[in-house]
Amino acid sequence: MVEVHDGPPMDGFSVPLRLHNLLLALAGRIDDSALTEARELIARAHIDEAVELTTGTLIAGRITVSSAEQRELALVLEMSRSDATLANDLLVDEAELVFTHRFTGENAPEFGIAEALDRTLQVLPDVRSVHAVWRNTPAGSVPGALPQRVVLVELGPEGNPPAVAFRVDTALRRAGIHSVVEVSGPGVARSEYHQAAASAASPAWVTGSAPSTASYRSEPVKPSIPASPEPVVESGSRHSMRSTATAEPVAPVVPIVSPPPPPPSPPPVEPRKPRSETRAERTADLSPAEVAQLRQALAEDPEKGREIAAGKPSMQEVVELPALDLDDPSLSERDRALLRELHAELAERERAEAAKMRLNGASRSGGEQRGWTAP
Amino acid sequence: MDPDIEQSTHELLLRLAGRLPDQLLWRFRDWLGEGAMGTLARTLPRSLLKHRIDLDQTEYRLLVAGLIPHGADWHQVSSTLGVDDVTENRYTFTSSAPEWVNSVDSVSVLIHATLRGRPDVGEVRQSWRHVGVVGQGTAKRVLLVTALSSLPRLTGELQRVLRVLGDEEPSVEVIPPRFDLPGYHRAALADSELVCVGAVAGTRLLAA
Repeated sequence: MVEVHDGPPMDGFSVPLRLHNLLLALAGRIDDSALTEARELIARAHIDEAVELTTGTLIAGRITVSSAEQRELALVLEMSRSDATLANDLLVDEAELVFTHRFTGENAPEFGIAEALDRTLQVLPDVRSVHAVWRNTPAGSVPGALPQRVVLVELGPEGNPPAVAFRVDTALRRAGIHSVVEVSGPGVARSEYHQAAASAASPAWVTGSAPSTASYRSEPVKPSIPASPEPVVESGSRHSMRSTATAEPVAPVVPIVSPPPPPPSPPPVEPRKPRSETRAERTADLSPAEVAQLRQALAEDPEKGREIAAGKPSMQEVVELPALDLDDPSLSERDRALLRELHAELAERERAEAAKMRLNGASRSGGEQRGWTAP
Repeated sequence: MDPDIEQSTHELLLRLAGRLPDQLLWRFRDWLGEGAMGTLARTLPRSLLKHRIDLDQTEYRLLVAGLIPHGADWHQVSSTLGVDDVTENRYTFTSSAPEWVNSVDSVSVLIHATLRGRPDVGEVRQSWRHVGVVGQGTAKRVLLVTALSSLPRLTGELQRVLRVLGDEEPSVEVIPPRFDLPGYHRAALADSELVCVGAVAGTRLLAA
């Protein structure tokens, strides 16, 4: 359970976003119907109805909240001109509560989601990734059918979480995909529920520059993670409510949509010499300025970005992949994730090209064989 | 909870079937079943006003009797009393299950297993509600149960069962004896099938 109040201060958030973040904290504790309906009400500017539904569901279900959550609900009730005394009926319990849910990524929870969201993801700004997972445990006092598909959407700073939650849910329902949609933006710590879900989730759609489920970690990622071509997925990570509350919030995600415009003249550092370097060398040795440029290119056109990183190599180029320099202190965590992804991409290309060479040779010999045997 | 207050609110929520959106109605009934009267008092009158649902005099009296003692806003409650006649039922009902319910209707089977011979429960029937022309659009199951006591709790219990079985916004009408049935329930009963009978034999649901 995330502690939205003892973590990052909520004062800077708008009322809809405060309630959205409260709902994130209540995911897995109240029923999925209430979550979905409340999010739709927020998106439709019916904040009062959304907070009344949320508070009423907690009261009637005798679902305990912390005193900080009670205060936040009372505040949102007040700010949405509802009856703030409703919050007095909430059951407050400061004891450490553990809501353990079981998630599984088996049986293709992501099936059909990318297709169903095709148009939605083209239109909505700054959606970074969509993951899906099955939840095998009931939520709230009036749970729905199980297993419940949970769709986890990761947004950048340009995205609006309540709006995206509603639109994604609508698109999935239209496609006959029943789910509860959890949308996380930057600057809010991930709850234990969301971390557990993310650790088992399968990617349904990921942008070229988006980090994978690793971005759901609530604590800042240590800079000395082992170099691995694949994103690290933490399995079975469990954080109690209190430990989450004391953990530092996730560092705000570096905006990739609107970075500062690249300088009009070529950067003075390290003039590009595509033919004199291998792709991997260029990838590993990118300067921070080039990384920024690359991020922008990836955001606009992932393929173009990869070409920049690869220096448009020729097929005949001999490539040796050096170890990734992930300990470079000038690189941010996002840069490192980006470099790992590019490194993996290059390695994959190398494997594909090598396999293609072998296959071409084999098919040629096969063709010759057929030529020999066929009359 | 005062049984009269509880009974008043239950009857009011019965009469709102087919008028208040399903997703609100089942939730309010769940809250009543859990005894969250203060919550209902603060939310139900506002919902009626927001959804432009006018009450007739009988319903208005039920609202006053049920929710004013629990702190409902008098101004809001007063505003719910309408002058024009309440719109009659706009749904059509059929007794046969739609095609998407396969030959084994597990919901019926479970309701039968739960309510057959149960104390204080009479007849249990079900009907399928359609919007507009039958066969176009989706059909919704409406469960019609007669019971002598603990009506809100029985409603909540059956709603939870139906939700677990996949009906997100269950329509469970638990009707007290000698209840003047609204048009919605009369129409549903007229095209319904028997699921089972509880321990209270002779408590029949008859469309007027």
